[in-house]
Amino acid sequence: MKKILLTIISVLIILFSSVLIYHVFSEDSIEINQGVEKEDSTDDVMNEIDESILDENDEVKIGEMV
Amino acid sequence: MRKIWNIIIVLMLMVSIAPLAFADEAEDPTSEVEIDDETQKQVEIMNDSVGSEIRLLQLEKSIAKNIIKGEEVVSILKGLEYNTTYLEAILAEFEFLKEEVIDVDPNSTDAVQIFVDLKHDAVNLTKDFRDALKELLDDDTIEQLRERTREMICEEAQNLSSKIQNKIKQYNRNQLHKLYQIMGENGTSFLNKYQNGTLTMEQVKQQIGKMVNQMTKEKRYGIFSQLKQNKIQKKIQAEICVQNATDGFQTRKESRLINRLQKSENMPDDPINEEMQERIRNRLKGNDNSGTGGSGNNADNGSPGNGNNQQSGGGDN
Repeated sequence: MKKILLTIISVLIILFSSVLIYHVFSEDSIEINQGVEKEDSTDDVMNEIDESILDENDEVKIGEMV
Repeated sequence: MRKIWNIIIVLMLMVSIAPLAFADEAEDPTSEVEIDDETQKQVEIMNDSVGSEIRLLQLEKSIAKNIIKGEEVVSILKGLEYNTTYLEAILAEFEFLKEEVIDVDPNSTDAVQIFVDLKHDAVNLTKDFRDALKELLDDDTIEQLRERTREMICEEAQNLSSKIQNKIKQYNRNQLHKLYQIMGENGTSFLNKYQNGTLTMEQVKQQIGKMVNQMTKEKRYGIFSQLKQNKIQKKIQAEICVQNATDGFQTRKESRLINRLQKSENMPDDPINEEMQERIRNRLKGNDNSGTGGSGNNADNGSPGNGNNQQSGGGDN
């Protein structure tokens, strides 16, 4: 009986730690990937510039009357 | 034995709590109004006085366009002997709204809040008009009206368009000037050419692209980080402004309606004015369901149309 309970505890500990490790690791890898991708690309700098300027035909839409 | 069971229970609790710990923060259910993503994006430029001016002019232009289209619809329907009092009452309130937009000081600290409020009113009045038309006309007639009003030219809106384009050029020039400063370059001649129309934005961007290409990785990354940081700052500021705009939204709405009602009561009595007052009073009583006011009032006043053409409203757009 004791053996079974110890096994259950071990399984739960392993399960919990693996969920935690996976979560932390996946978050880090996303951030690292984003950093690496954007670090040295001219396109990304240009995209940031694009986002900071306005389209001359930009509008505030309130819907059509008909 | 007992201890082991306790450990198992604690571990199971930890496992079940884990998803809660990783879950995103829930939205505030007490928020008085939901501000859409588009509006949220629009207010991002309003921490700048030129940006604020642009948004207010754009709102004024959209309202002016809708008033002109509404007036055209009313004139056509009058020719067909429909009762257009309710539609005209909406247009009269639209005129009040336009004046309120014109009166906003773009440099005031609550410009974002007022923009959000007045845009919300403009969207609702437009919807009220559309819904009232659905009560009055069949789908084919509405389609014909849509065709007739689609390409209407409004002189007021055209004047506003050129004003807006100039302001946007000024705004973009300021943004690019900041960018040149970050890059440690002098782009004044390019920027002047852009503002006076000799160079297009595409040409300016090409020139900047060439400069960025020639930079070292480190410098490029520095610029990228700075731009990213500016963007995040703008987003945070916009988020705060939007949050402020949602607080007290209903109270401000009531006070706007009361102001419009008082303004309307000071005007000479006529059926359109009375209808507008009735609409505002209904909303102040808490019947502010966009579109439903139209059918209610029309029912009170009898048929809004000439009887023969009246059909039940279609579905929502």
